[in-house]
Order: sequence, then C-alpha cells, then structure tokens
Amino acid sequence: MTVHARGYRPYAGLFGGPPAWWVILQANVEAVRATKAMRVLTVLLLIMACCVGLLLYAQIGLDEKLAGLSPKQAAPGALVESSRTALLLALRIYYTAATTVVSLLAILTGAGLVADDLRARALTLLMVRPIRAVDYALGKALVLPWILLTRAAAPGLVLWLLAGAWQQPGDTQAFWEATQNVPGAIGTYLLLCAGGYAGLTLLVSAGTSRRGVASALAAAVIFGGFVLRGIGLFRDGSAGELLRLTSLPTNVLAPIISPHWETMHDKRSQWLLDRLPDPSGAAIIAGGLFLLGFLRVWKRARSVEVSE
Amino acid sequence: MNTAAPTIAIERLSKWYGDVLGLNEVTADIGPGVTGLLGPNGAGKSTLLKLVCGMLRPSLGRVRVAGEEPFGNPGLMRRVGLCAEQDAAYPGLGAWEVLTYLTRLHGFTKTQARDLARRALERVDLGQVLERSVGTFSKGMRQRFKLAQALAHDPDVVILDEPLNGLDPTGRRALSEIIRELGDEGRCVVVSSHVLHEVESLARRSVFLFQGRVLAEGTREAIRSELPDHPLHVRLLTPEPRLLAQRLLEAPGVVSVTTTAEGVEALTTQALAFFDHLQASAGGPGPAITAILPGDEDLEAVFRYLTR
Amino acid sequence: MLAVRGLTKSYGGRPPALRDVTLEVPEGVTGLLGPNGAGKSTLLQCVLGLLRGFSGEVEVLGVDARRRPRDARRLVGFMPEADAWIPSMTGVRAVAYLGRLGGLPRNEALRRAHDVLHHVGLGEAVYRDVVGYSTGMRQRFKLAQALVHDPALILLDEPTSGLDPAGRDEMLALIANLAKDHGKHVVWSSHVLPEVQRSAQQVVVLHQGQYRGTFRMEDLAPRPGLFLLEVEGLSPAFEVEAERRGVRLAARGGDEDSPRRAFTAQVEPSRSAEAAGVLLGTAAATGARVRRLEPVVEDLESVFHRLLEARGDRP
Repeated sequence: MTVHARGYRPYAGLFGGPPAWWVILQANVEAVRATKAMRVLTVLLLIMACCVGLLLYAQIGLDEKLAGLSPKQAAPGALVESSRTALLLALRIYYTAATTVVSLLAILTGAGLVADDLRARALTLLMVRPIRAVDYALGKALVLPWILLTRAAAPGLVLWLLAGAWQQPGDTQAFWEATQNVPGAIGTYLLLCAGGYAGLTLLVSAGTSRRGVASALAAAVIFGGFVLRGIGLFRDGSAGELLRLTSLPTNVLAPIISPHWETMHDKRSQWLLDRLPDPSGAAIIAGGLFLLGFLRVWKRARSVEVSE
Repeated sequence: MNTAAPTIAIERLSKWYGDVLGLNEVTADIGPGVTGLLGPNGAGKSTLLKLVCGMLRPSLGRVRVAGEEPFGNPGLMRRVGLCAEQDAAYPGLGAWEVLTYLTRLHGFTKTQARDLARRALERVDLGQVLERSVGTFSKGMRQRFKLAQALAHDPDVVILDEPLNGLDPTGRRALSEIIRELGDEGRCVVVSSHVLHEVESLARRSVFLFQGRVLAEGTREAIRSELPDHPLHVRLLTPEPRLLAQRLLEAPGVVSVTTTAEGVEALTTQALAFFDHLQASAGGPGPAITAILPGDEDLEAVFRYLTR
Repeated sequence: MLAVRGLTKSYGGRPPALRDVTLEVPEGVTGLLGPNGAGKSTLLQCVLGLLRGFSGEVEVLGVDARRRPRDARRLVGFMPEADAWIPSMTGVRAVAYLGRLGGLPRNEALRRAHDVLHHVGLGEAVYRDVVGYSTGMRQRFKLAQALVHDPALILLDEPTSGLDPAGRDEMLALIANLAKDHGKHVVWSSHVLPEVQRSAQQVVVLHQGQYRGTFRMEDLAPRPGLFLLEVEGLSPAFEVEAERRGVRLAARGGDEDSPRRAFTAQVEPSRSAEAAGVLLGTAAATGARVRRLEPVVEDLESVFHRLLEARGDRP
C-alpha cells in the first residue's frame, strides 16, 4: 500500500515544446475563433462561398445553353473565355464580401488583441516567462493572417479548381492555363490583407487598454480611408494618386477586381480600372503598417513593468 | 446649530440595491473615540459608511448622527468629515487651493477656508507642498490629502474608509498617529478596514460586519468572552513545563494541556476561574510562570471565531 | 541564492531608482521591505531579467540574469501585486497557457495547471472565466500561475493585498508550506510588517534606492524587564502596590471605562525573571486579575524604522 502526500507536488516531467510565438499564436487564434463575431462572420462567409459557387456553376451552364450546344458538341476551347469571365466575377463578389468581413473582424475582434491584454495586465504574467518580446509580437501579428488563410484564401482556390472541373471535357486544362494568374492574385490579396489589417489592428490595439477606443480607431481608419479614396477618384495628379491609396479594403481588393474589369470593355469599367490603387503603393502601405504594428507591440512587450 | 454629542446611532438599518442586499438589519451605537469597522470585502462596510454620511437613503431602519438623520440633511455634513476609499481626480491645482475650495463648500468665507485648509494640510504633514498639484502626489501623499480634506472643516464625526490602504509602513505609522489623536480629542472616529492588526492598535472598540450583518460589537476582550463555545487558548512560559502542566490539570475548566519546550499550552472553558487559580497559586511554591500569553484573544482570532 | 552586485539604474533625470546596490539574498523566505519609491519594483524587474539600461551584475540561482534573462526566468515564478489575468480564458486554460510558455509540453501543462490550481484551493472555479473571480480567488490564481512551471524561486509582490483575514492566513500558510516542505525560495515584497515578521526568516531593506541591510528574524532582541500587561478588575490599589514592589506601570491608552486595562510594566532588567511572580502576586493581593503578561520583544517594525533612519536622513 502507498499513501501519497497531499498538497504541492514538484513537476517531474520534461521541459520543451514548440517555440513561444507559436504557442501564443495558437492560444490567440483559439480565443478569436471562440468569439461570437468570428462565428457569425465565418458562417456568413461560408454561405457566401456556397452562393458564389452556385452562381458560377449556373453561369457556366447558361453559357453552354446560349451557345446552343449540347454538352458533347462544343468546339474545344470555345467556352473557356466566357467561363473565365464568370470565374473572375465570382471571385470579385466573394472577395468583396470577404474584405468586408475582414474589416469587421479587424474592428470587432482584432482591436482587442493587445488592448485586452493591456487591460488585463496580462503582460505582467506573460513576459515573466522565458519568452522574448519578439515572440509576443510575432504571435499576435500572425493571428489575423492565420485566420485569413483558411477563411479567405481557401474558398477562392476551391472555386478556381471547381470552375475548371465544370468545363467541357477536354477544356479543363485550357481553362486553368487561361486563368493561371488567379492563384497569384489570391496570394497577393492574402499578403496585402494580412499585412495591412494585422498591422492596423496591432497599431491601434497596442495604443490603448480600452478595446472600444481601439475599435473606433480601426473603424475610423478603414471607413475614413474609403471616403478619402472616393475624393481621390475625382482628383488628378499625384494628390489623387495618394488619396486613392488610403482605402485599405480597396488596396487589398485591387489584385482580385482588376482582372475582372479588364474583361469588361465599357467606359465606366475602364475609368475605374485606371483609378485603382497603384499596386506597389498598396504593397508599401501594407508592409509599412505591418512593420509599424509589429514594432509597436514589440516595444510595448519589451517595456513591461512588473509592478507599479 | 446642532450641539448634540458626536455619536452615531444605527437602528435596524437595512439597505439593498435592486435585489442585492447590502446591509441587513444593522443595529449599533458608536460613541466618541476611535471605533473599528471590520469585515471582509463585501461585508457592507462601505454601504454603512455611505449611509452614515447621508450619501445613500436607508431602505429600512434609521441612522442618526448627532441625533439627526443624515440623508438629505446637508447642514449636518458640517459636522461630518469623510475620507472615502476611492481616489478622486483633482484638477491640476495646488493642494492648498483645492482644499480651500472644498472647505468653502461647507459655508466658510474664503479667508476662513484658506486658514482651515492650511491647518489641515499642516496637520497631515503636507505643509511643505501646499502649492504642489495633487495630481503629482504619491500614493501616500494622496492618502494624507484625503485625510486633510476630511478634517479641514473641523468635524467631530470623522469617517475613514480604508485610510491605510496601500500605504507603506512609514505612511501607516504617521497616519495611525493622527487617527489616534483624533480619537483622543473626543471626536467620533470610525475606521473601516479589512486588515485587522492595523485596527488592533488604533481602536479599542470594534463593530464586526459580515455578509451585511453585525456579528458583534464592543472591545475585543468583551466579544471574546461572549464566545464560550471556543475555549480560551493560553500559553504559559515556564522553566519547568512538565511540573506546571501537572498543576494545570487541576485548574478550573481546563480541557487540555500540552507541554512544549518552553512552556505549556492550555485550553480552558472557564477563563475567569482559570486565571484566578493561576494567580492564587503563583505566590506559593511550584514552577514559576514567566509569561502569560492568551493565544486567541486578538482581533484575528475573534474574527475567525465569529465568521466560522 | 540571489546575488546583486553594484546595481545602479536611473530613469533619465530623476534620482536613480537604485544606487550601487550590492546584496545577497539567502535561501528560504526573505521579505523585501522599503517605503514606496525605495526601488523594490526595480529590483524585482531586474531579477526577472526585464530591466534594461542598468549597470551591475545580477545572479539568480547561479544564472546571470543580465546576459541570460530567459534562463533566469525559467527558474523564477512571479506573482504580481496588481490584478492580472489572461483575457477570455478560464482559470485552468490560462494557467496551462502560461505553463506552456514556461516550457511545459501541452499535455503536461494542462495536467500541471490542475495540480497547482487545486493546491491553491480554487476547486471547481478553475473551469470558470477568471474575470468572474472574487478578489481572493484572483489572488490564488496569481499564485498558481507563478507555480505552474515548478520554479525554484518565487517572487511575490504584496501577496496578501486585498484579502480578508481568513484569506491572508491561507495565503501565508501556502507560502510557508512551499518554503518549508518543498524547498522553494521565496522573495516577498511587502508593506505589512507583522505578516513578514511571522513568516519570513530574514528581511532585506531598501530605502531611496539604496541597500540598508539584511536582518534575520531570529535576531529580534528581547527587551529584558519590559512587559505588556493586561489587567481586569483593576482598583487604584493595584497601581500603588505595584509601584511599592518596584514595578513601573505606564497605561497604554484605551477606554477608562473598559473592564480591562493595558499597561507597559517595567522592572529592573536584573529582576526580569521574578517580574511575573511579582505582578501576579500584586494582582492577587488587590483583587485584580492578570489576563496577559507578555515579555516585550523588539518587533520588525521598529527594526525596519531603525534601518531606514540609520544614515540620518528622514524616512
């Protein structure tokens, strides 16, 4: 028989595990996922993806009908171009919705990423562990990109693959070749979105311990930018160019919507196409925001005071 | 003007907020001198003090300060000084200026108020920093300032809610000294605290609050003697523990005797007879007693017995 | 156990927070004392390897906290004074998360989190959100998170602040148990001297950024010939008779009409041993009853103030 002592027990197991930034990332992604806003928005996006998929499927079928062909009779490659237009439209619709969702997510949940920690004085519990400030900043900075990866990138790629599969037999290969820059555009979208939104949320979030303030700031930047861009549409020269770069949602959407507008040859589309944000400018803004947000959080974590 | 003695009479006083009961049929009489108001967090101490200061209206029962009901009776506040637990935010004015202003609210002329404010600040040892902004004060200085603000209009009922909270030992000693003086001057001083040994040295009489009820009031010895279910624990030091232990077995009401290296620990249910016996046999031959240490007569022990 | 050499830290412009502090904290439970602004916070920050821009050396259990701050933090558990929690996590999740950051593998962290939360007595509340905890529960939570990675040194910043008497007793018992039965070293910053006196083996005193000395609790000196006395059923004859038998009495405040009165009683130090007998006899002869007769021992508070005033400057 053995009688075990009650009370405190020393730890007899091993030490070791994944790097700290990974643990922080995981914990935060989990926490964001559990929020109500995130759940609602995920369901919305899922419905959106299904609707757009159906639309695409119907559009491809309709094109076949209009061409007066029974499925077996089409000339090879005859319908690839119209399917491409349909896919680009579907992507434009989906990513416009996704960008709205990401904007809301950034405002509702992202703004709390660091602000909530500051309010809870969580840094006095976190930074006294064997971790570096850079682990904390990295973990926090990757939360939004990580969520975007599954919520935004995956559905677009699936649509692209499905649209190919729905082509006339034998056209699939030709379709994917004709639309080979779609994955690249989605990738660019993802990078811009990840950088810009993550940077913005960290920047506003690390500046205050009140989540409401951070949310309001993020909303002001996003919507304010939208308005400024609207003004920029009617200005010429470099002032207009700069103003047109201020809308984060438009910046990140540009790689997705410009290919679609290119397929439409009316004057209005051309006018808008000419006034899309400059891609390198958008990239600099996204990268800059990310860097600034990251540095701000890093500094905040580094300068933690364990007692007041 | 009211000239009745500075006393607080509380009669079947109850207070609830919505459905939450803050104070439950409290009856107590508090006279001149320092009285401790003791109880854990949430026991109703602050509610009681607010009722005494007329900041809340009783739900049931009555409270009278110097014979008058405090609620809706601003004239009475001329005789009452309150040092609240929370820190108020003061504009960036000098301490003297702020306090002059606050004192004038009691109906003094500007010259009188300036004089009173100065004297109060000097009393709490802030005479050196009359012009400094209260916002720049340290925690200890703010606490002193709050006390000065309670004392400036020379009230004879002084209510101090957790006055020693967050002070360092030096600050505690200085403030305790002032509080003791106030009691010796014949003012009715009520000090609330959940740190019992702080009050032990300040107040002879205490009111014990627990879950909104008064558990006991009086001096700790008187309360202790009202708790016959808990045999008194007495430690006696002697060079001959075994001999003394044998003797004590015959003493009245003794339920257990334990010897230690330096003496004897005894539990007795008849404290008075036990001490008389001890004293009567001390003169005669037998083991010498070098110290008598009651083990559970302090506020902490009394409080423990009352609440368990 | 903890060694600091020549530690100086200033925050631009103001007088330095720490001035050339050299001290050695021995094993066991050590109180870290000093008035506000003495530099205790800065010292804690430094021991945790989170202080930058200072000069001097800090060694925690043989690890250089300046050059290898993360290795030092591995050995240290810290319980902050201010309320702190991890947003939107239950108690057990938060402690497990902090355990993982302390180097525990995922499953071990969760198991260990249950262990320590149980040990501090949080019971079923571990599955609730920390935000809903009472003050006492939050305090326990903070202690548990400091223990989760089984550190050898535990730093406590005012661990009993905001607790009621029962909570204080339990917190002190937990601390004592960790030190005595599990060989943990404890450095405990506090303003509540009686608690430190009861639970610590020694104290380190800082004042105005300088080290003022270490004092071992066992060196608290008795004051021969001086007693605390509480008497019931007092008559004027008692004081007269006591005086006659060579005892000087000084009343220690209190109500005139209280049945019990407190005095400080003083006899010649050489008669210290017989003083108790004399006083008991006096009481018996005058119909009074002695309820307390306690030899006065210097308390930590007076030692503390002596150390503060040691260099002649005002505390």
